[in-house]
Amino acid sequence: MNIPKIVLFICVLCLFGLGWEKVYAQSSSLDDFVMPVVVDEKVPQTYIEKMLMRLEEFEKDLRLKEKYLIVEDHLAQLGQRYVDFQKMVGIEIHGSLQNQTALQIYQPNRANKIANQFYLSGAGVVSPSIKYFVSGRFKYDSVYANSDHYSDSVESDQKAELELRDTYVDYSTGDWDFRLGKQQVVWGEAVGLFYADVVNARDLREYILPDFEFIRIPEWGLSSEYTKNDFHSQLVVLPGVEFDKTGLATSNFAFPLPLPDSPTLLALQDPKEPKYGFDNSKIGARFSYLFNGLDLGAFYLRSWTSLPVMYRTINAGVYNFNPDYQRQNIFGMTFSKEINDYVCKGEAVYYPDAYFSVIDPTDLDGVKQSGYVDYLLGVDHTYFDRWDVNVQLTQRWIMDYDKTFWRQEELTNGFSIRLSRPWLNRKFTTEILAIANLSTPDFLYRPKVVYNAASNLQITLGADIFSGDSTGSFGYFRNQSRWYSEATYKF
Amino acid sequence: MKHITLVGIIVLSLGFLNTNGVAAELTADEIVKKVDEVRNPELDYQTDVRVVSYKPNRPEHASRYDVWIKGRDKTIIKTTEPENERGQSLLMRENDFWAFFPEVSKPIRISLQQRLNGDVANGDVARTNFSGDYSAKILSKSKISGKDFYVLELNSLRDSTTYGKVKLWVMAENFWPVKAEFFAISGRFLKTCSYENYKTLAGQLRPSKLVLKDAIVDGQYSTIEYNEMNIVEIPEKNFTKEYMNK
Repeated sequence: MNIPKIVLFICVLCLFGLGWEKVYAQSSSLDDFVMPVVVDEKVPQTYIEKMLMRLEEFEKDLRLKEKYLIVEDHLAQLGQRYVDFQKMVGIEIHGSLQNQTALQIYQPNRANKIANQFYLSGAGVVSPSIKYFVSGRFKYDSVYANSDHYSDSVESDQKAELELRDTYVDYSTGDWDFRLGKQQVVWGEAVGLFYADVVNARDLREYILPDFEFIRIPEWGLSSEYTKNDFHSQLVVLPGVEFDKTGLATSNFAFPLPLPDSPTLLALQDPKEPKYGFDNSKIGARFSYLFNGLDLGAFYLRSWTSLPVMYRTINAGVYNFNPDYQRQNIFGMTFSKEINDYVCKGEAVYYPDAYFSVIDPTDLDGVKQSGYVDYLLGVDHTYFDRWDVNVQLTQRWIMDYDKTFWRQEELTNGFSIRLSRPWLNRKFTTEILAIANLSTPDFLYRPKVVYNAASNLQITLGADIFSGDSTGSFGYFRNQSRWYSEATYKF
Repeated sequence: MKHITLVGIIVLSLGFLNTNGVAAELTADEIVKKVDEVRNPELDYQTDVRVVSYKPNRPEHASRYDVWIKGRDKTIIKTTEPENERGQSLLMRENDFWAFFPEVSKPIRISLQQRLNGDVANGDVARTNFSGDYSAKILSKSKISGKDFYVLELNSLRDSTTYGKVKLWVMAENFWPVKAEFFAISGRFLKTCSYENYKTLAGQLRPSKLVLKDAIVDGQYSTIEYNEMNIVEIPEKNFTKEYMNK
């Protein structure tokens, strides 16, 4: 060991020693010993007592404060009265105002979103066993008004929208809970992906980019739940059946049709949606049990294909599509378990009689059936106290695979990784989510920075970058890669 | 009436002896149990908690939580402020934890380590009891500002506790906790806690403010204030992940 290394070694020892001394010097010190003080005071119990107390305080303030202070106090009183009013009528109102602006990364660098959204919700208690929740949103995307890029039908579909969101009544009695109304039913464990989330239809007009809360379309129906100790069961009946919404032709995220690569003439009919009614309801049940930290769940859902089955005929070289929805059975299971600070989770979903489009022109209706399984294994861990990491491996196995299946492999592998970290006392959070389809291969990268500008104002800057083979579900939207900003004010 | 007065005198005398002589017969674990009775109601309860974390040269971060506690092992913490985090909640069920984020709209399983992250551990907010989770021994008895104190050492009995070891100063006359030092399982000194502003919460004088100071970084500390505490019967099912969005 030469002299500089010895000096360095001694310096490190000294620093280590100083640090150690500091730790134990603080320990057992009584410098900051604060003797307890009783600060008890009479706490008003009833609403009238509270109001009288405020009136007394207000009268005192009137004598003491200058005029502008009185005005300020009036405003504070008004705010407090609003809170008191909410308490008195038993309704709690919250909402948000949000602007989302997105600019395409690749040529042409035009804006593909300038959306303003107003969301409002109210929650109340009718009695100890009955609660209600009402919510809705209005969204206006001016990019459709100021651009010739989109067809009239796309403009009509995506420019302005007023919709009722989750709106339901909850009734609770003993071990039973019932929810009647428009609702989201969430059965999955995965992060950033839909696997066991099979109940609600999805709004995919912006693909999977919006918050999952807004991708799921709430559906009308009844959910009944029974909970006993570590056992939980849920039965859902949703007669107000909804189907996935996808972008129309020329919209940013229009899905491709199952056609040959060469230019083809086609005719596309509107999909036939089954009517609302009990005969056409989605019906399902889920059971879960928590055993020694292992959270196991299993479910069955009698549903509909979320996207229409693309039946087609070919007449004189023209492809005629007659999309139609079909009944579909779905079986699934989920698990999660923490092992030494690693949270392991998994989902498997089996579709015994799924429909696949085929590219074979000799096939009469362009559709074949096969069972398939989608499954996922994931793990969550926090590194260095701050870095949250989630890694998920996915696979799809089509059991009766046929090479004519359109854009499908017998085995499709994928993975996702999500990293996030808060900075500066949670003033900023950085996050990146990457989802890869390894078989194609194609990718989606979603880096973002979230800035808490105020306690009720959040600003996000980020990017949604699609890349890879254009036959993949991500690579297909390569030209829709975008920078975006998002400002959300919550109240 | 005379009997009542006599009984009263005896009780008072016992109370007096309790602080000076008989208390010495209490075991460390019994003292910790009495400290827990001061810190938390024994029954199910709901409390409103405000947490402010301060770091040198950083903006302060304030949060408010609606906390529901059943027994020793079940807690749900709902964030009510700031608005940006409203709707988030954390379920602690023995050694199992879930977080709920409105934008994802589903409960996400998290680890014990994630539960402990942040400047204020969720275990601090939840006011979980020491007894049952830690074994105690009396290190010494001392007099500070004319008051008798027990100095206790608490060692964790299981991996899921917030801290590995706790050193606790307790006023002998009323079992009020006054100061604590928290250590990680590795023995690393993590933070000190000062139990302040005793006021009536759920029918008893309890500390309404905790000041948690980081052991390493000067000027880094957090305050936890309990504004009200209500004893309510809470159904078991409220502490399931399926109930987090209700």
